[in-house]
Amino acid sequence: MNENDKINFDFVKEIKEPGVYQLLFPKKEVGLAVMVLFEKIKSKSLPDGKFIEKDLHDAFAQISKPNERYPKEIYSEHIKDLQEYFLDYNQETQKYYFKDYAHRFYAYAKETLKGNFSPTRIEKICSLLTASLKQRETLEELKFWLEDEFKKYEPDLREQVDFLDRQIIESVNKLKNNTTNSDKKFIDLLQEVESNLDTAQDQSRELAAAYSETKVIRSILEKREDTDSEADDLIADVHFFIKYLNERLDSIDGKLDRIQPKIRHLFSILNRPQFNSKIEKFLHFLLDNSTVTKRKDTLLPEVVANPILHIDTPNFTIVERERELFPSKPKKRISYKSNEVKIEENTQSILKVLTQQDLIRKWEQHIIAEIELRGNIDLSKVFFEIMEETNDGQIAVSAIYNSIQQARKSKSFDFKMNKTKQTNSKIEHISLWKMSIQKI
Amino acid sequence: MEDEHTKDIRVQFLDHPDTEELFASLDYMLKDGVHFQREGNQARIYNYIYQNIDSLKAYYRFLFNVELTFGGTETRGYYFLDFIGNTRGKIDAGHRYHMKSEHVIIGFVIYKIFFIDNQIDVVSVKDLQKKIRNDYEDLKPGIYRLIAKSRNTNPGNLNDDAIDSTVESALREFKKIGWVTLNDDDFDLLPAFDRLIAIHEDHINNIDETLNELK
Repeated sequence: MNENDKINFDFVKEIKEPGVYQLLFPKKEVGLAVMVLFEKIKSKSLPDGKFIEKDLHDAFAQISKPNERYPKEIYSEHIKDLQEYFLDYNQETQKYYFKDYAHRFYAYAKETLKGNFSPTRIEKICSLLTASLKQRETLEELKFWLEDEFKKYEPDLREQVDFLDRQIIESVNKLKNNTTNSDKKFIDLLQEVESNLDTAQDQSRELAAAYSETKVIRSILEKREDTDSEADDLIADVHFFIKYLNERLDSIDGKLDRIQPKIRHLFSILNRPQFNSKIEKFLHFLLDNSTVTKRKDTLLPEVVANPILHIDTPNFTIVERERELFPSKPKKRISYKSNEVKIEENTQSILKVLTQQDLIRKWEQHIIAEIELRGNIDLSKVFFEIMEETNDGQIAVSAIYNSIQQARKSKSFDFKMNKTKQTNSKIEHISLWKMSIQKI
Repeated sequence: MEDEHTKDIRVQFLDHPDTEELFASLDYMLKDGVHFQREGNQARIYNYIYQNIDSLKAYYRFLFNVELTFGGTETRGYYFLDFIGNTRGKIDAGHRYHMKSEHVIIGFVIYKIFFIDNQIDVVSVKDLQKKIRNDYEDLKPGIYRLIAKSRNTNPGNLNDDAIDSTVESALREFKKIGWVTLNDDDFDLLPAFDRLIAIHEDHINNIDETLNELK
């Protein structure tokens, strides 16, 4: 096919030609018989995908269940039609087999209905496409990739999102069209829908992960500098397609996020079909018995009071000088120079306090942890430990004091003290009584 | 420690570390009729009320004679000031604002759509308006009469426009009191939406008697 043919091909005109459409899309009983045969090939009851006229007749009979006598003429007519796009006949072996168009026809219908959800396959397709894109060195090669390779897999990539979307819509419709009056059945239905939606959510995540490879494709394409305007258009198509996939996935996620809480709520208001029917009666009561006054106010029936929404909250009166009325005289702006030295000094002193507090907290935690671990602690010993390590009496005293306070408040700790003096050779001039905390 | 046990319960919440930051706006919102639930940016205030519930309850009862109330279920609960339950409240009648009848009616229609008819895929104001316009033939004459205030109870542009705008204003009103979330065209019902039913529960339960009396 040369360039000219491509441009002049008018698809709609072609398919409108007499007989073309009908042969491409056979009528129900013929199409269904084709599907029956394909399923038989699939289950290996027609070896090598080959079959004879008798098999075709059986399939027609299975679908249309003839109540007249063997309609051989009609079947022959069907076969003749199918031979245009669907069937081929090998004169040597005297057997029929399906043409490529029939294979696609079958596969597409089946996949659409069965919804073959397979993120791993998407992942494989994506990495295949990436690997092949990486090898496209010349512009011609790149165009081939854009036009033929990527485009060929677009339906596969798109189909998965369609499948997810359809699953959600089907689940929700089941719930919406529910006619059961039985609670038990409704609970079953809710549970089924809930689990379907949970599955859909997992699948949406898997799919998003599988599509992530498309980012690589995008960035490779963005880096190509040797493109002409034709290639740029094709690249734009790819970007658009990838963006479309991601948007669809996002919208599916959004939908799920909003539907799921509502399902949970339906669970919580179960067991009240009687109450619900009363609510409906009440709504009709409101609609039938409310009135509209001459001043066009709607009044609920007298027995029903309008709910009080809120009460008055005060508005503060803000006294403000009106700038427009009393403009202030222009003043010279004085900028203040900050004293960097003072700021640094202040910062340091604040930092010191903060570190000190951190250390105190750290030691407190250490003390509590020790008690939890060993069942008791010698506080006097810890005091000198802190002194040795920090040389800061403030930290040692605070940590010990806070721990004692904590032990006193707590029911699981017991504080003990006796007046034996404790000292430490490294820390001079300080002695204290023996103090300990026990875990009860 | 000792102090806290003897301290007046009505002021205990003052010692809570978040009071200074949260209480003023919480107080205003409660009086404005806002319902608080454990959702979105309300969660923090909900938790604050939860932690101080006894003290706050006592405070509002003592000073305003209104009940700070918990509604709904444990998992889908909400707090609000109940202005309805009290008759001797210290808020005089001139300072009480009532929900418009149109909004009450739209509220019940919304409840029916979501929780009786399970139309859970309605997520935007436009969806909702369309649903009411197209799928609720039996409710429409009443809605046209009471909401579009039209003598013509047949479908028509003016009637439909009136419904659309009332649905929208009802949702805006519900948003103010924490019954729904509403961002542009998107809306969701919050747990506190159930309050509409709770308020009218008595009437709903006795609807058969009420209807009998009318006959």
